[in-house]
Amino acid sequence: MIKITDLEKYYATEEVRTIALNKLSFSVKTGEFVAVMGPSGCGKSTLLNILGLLDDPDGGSFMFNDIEVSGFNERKRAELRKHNIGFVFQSFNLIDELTVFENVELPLIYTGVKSAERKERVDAVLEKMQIMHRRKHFPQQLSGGQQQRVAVARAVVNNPKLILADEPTGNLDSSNGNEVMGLLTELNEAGTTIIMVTHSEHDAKYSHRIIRMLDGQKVTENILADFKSSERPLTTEGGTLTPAEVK
Amino acid sequence: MRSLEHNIMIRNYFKIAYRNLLRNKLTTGLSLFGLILGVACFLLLATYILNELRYDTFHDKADRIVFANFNYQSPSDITAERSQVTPTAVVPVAKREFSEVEEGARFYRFNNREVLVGNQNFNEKNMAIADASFFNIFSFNFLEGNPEDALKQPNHLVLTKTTAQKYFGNRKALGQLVEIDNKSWKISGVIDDIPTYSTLQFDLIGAYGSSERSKTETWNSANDWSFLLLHKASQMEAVQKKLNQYTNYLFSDDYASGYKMWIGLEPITRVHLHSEISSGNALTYIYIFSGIAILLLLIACINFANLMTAKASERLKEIGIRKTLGAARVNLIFQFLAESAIITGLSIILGVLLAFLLLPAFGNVANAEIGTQSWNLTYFVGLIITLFVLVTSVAGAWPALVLSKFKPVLALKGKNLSFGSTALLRKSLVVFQFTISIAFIMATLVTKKQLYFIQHTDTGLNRNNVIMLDASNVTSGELATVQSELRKNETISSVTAAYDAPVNVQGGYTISVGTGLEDDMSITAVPVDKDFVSTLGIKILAGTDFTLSDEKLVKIEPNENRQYAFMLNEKAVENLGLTAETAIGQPANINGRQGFIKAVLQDFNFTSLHEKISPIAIFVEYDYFGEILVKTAGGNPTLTISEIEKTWQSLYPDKTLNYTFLDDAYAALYKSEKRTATILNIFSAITIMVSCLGLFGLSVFTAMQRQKEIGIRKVLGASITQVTAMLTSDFLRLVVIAIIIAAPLAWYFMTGWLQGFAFKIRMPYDLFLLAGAIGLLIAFLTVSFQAIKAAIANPVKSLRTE
Repeated sequence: MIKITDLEKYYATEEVRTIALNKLSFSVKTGEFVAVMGPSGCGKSTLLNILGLLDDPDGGSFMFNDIEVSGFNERKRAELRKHNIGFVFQSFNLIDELTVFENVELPLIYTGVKSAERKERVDAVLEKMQIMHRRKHFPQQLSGGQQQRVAVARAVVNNPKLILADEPTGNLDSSNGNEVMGLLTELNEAGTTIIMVTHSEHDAKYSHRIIRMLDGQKVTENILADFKSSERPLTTEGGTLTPAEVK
Repeated sequence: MRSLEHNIMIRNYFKIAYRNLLRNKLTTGLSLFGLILGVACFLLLATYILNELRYDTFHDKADRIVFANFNYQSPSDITAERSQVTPTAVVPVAKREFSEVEEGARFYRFNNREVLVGNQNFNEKNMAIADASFFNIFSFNFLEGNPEDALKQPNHLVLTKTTAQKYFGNRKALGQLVEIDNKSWKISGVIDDIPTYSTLQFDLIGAYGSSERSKTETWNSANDWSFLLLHKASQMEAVQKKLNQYTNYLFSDDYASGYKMWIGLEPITRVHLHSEISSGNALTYIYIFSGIAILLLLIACINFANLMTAKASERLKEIGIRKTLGAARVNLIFQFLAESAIITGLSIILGVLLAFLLLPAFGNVANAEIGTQSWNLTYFVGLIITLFVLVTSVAGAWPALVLSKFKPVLALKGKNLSFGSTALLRKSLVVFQFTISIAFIMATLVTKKQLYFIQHTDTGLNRNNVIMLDASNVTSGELATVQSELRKNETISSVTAAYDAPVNVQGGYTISVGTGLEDDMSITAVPVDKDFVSTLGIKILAGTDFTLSDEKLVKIEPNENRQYAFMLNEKAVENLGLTAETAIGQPANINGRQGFIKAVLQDFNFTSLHEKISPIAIFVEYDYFGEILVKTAGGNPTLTISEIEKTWQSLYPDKTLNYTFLDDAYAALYKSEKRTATILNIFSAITIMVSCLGLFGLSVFTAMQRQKEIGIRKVLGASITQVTAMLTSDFLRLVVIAIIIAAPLAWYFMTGWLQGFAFKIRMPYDLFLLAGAIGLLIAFLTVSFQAIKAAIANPVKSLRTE
């Protein structure tokens, strides 16, 4: 599903040029659960941003389901992103002014899903995440674990093929953390590819494979579990997206 | 010791405030710019208002001076007609008969006079004569001569400084001789130029005794302004009572047959603003201008307050640290007030400077000769100090109170604070700003439309290509010569003459129609030359135009045998209970002129469109003409005027030709409306500009505050268009609310304004929509820039967790 080769990213201030990603290469198969680990500043978040099509690499190749996306403009990236990728953040990133329901509904609005269907799908996912009873509350009224469940619900409501999680348990206590990891595992078992950045060895153990990074490079790879690939095509608005269409 | 610490503390406040303002250049710049404009406009308008309020108050005895007016009501009149000119007898009678009257003076204004100084000829439009006591009553500053006896001798003349310089340069004017009306006049004094805030305006003033009119005390004609100086200000009512008794007795015969005539009194200080006889509606404009001045300043203050509180979230950490380190709330309040004081102080200094630079231009627009003379030092300093205190506290108090309130722990976190009530207030203030701005735009458009209507509506009288020559120096005997000489010019199609300018006929007469037993009716009337109706294209409904024989019949000597031909308008005929057909041929009498109704004219506007068309009669009479009316064949008016000037020079080598276009004379009737329109125009532009400054600042901060939200939405798939729309629509919603509030406001005020016109447009609701659209568009342009910038930004930056 994902294949990056010699990926590079720099951050330049007036005086210093920092290398965030230094010719990084690896690939992730559809349905795989990969954890990315490494000390602060090793380039994990930068990697996640590029994989999430939020940011552009400065060099190298990024194949997303056999399509080279590194040269994509903002509009094309956004199009691909909103149909295929869900995000879970450490700080939840829920919009304070919107209710639980409205937060989860947002991705569906942006992909143009009709109102009745939106309600159905949001309710279904809230049910699944067991926060249906909180649907009219605002994020500030929920506990951390509940907030992250809302964030996960929002990430999966569009049935993305790939979920990118940036330290999803970083702001949670261990029981809430385990619960969120459980949710992610369930999603993965149902076929969603997950790439998760984490500091926690405990969380990393939920994955099939751990990629360890240092100074923008891959240092080691530990395979924790067997994984059998079952390729599924990328989709857009329910239809199948072929490489030709995206270009 | 305490005071030393205090000083250090205050200095510290200002030092930090100064640095803060420097660091936040955008907020500071926007607030400053808005406030400078607000202060400058406020000062300009205040100058105008002060100028109006101090009218005639500069005379030392101002509180004791009263101005007399003359009232006349015939049995058929519903209200009395009031005029500012009074019979010559009023002053001498009051002085003789009433012990409360200390002094009195008559003031009579000449039309144009030619003044010969050496061999140089000056045409003076502003010459008057007044009784000897004039300068005892009024305080005009004498540069040469003395007020006591300057006007005692006949043919003595006092000049204003400018006039004296025009005549004699730097030479001493006192004792010099000039020639007016073939008589020699001696300069007996020079006074400072008349302040603009004086009802009495003249460039030169002669002794009343120089004129024939001084020799007779009459109640039969009214042409003088009469002023009385009372011993005590409180005696006006007593004098009024005695005057009433006197006129009741004097006119007892007229009273018996239903006519009323009386003399009314008003304190001179009230004349300009409150009297119905003073021209224009000065008081209304004072209200309008005060309103604009205060609102504009308020809008600028709101900008400052709004930007300060919007910035609050960025400063929460600073506030938290200060509080943790022991700052009391009052310290923080002072801190924020210091910032407000610096901004206010700076904008007042620059605003005063700007106002100073713009004063001449504003005077031009406002059509008032205002200058720094109105910035009388004590008043002005007082005003500035008041302004400083008011603006500092209005603009600074709210931010200071809101920002100093936060609890230190919450403030330190700098996050998740509820700005609910603050945001609501901020939104309300934006709505307020735009309500005012849009109401101004609406008012501007309505005034414009009414003025366009005035200029283009058919008044029943064709003003096109008519040049009006001042004929007050031409005797009626000479008119025929002037006419025939002018007619030789082929660019001139016809020449006629009238007592008054036909766009503003004032003469009050009474008419009786029929056998003579019927009641008299008040009527406006104007003596004209026989070609008047045809030259001005006034439509005759019944009967025929004046002819040469009509002219001959009114030139018969003696007067008693003259036969007059009258033309009446529809309204006059209707009020007399006749129809166009039945009126023709009816015998009629207008103030002793015996004749018959020759024609009925379609109604036409002969005064400003403020007034309904009232009855008017026109008749040929060759005693006096004020205006010669020249209709050109079209083409180049400059050419025609130079031809007219040549002809004039050949006829009157000593007399200056004064002319104006009839269209301009018509437009001059709406001078004050035009002035309001211009001022509204300018200030609505400034108001919307200042409001937009604030809106722009707010859009910057909103985009900043919502950075994270925008990032999340973009990550979830929102497009740039969607984010831009979300950000702008929040602001535009406020503007829409403002439009909804502004419309009825503008409707209310403009209906009131239009009420002043008898001839007016229907309230143009489409213009309200247009004004709303303009407001929306301007607001959209203001906020969309920032919104698009925020929408384009990469969400990675806003979502990065520290």
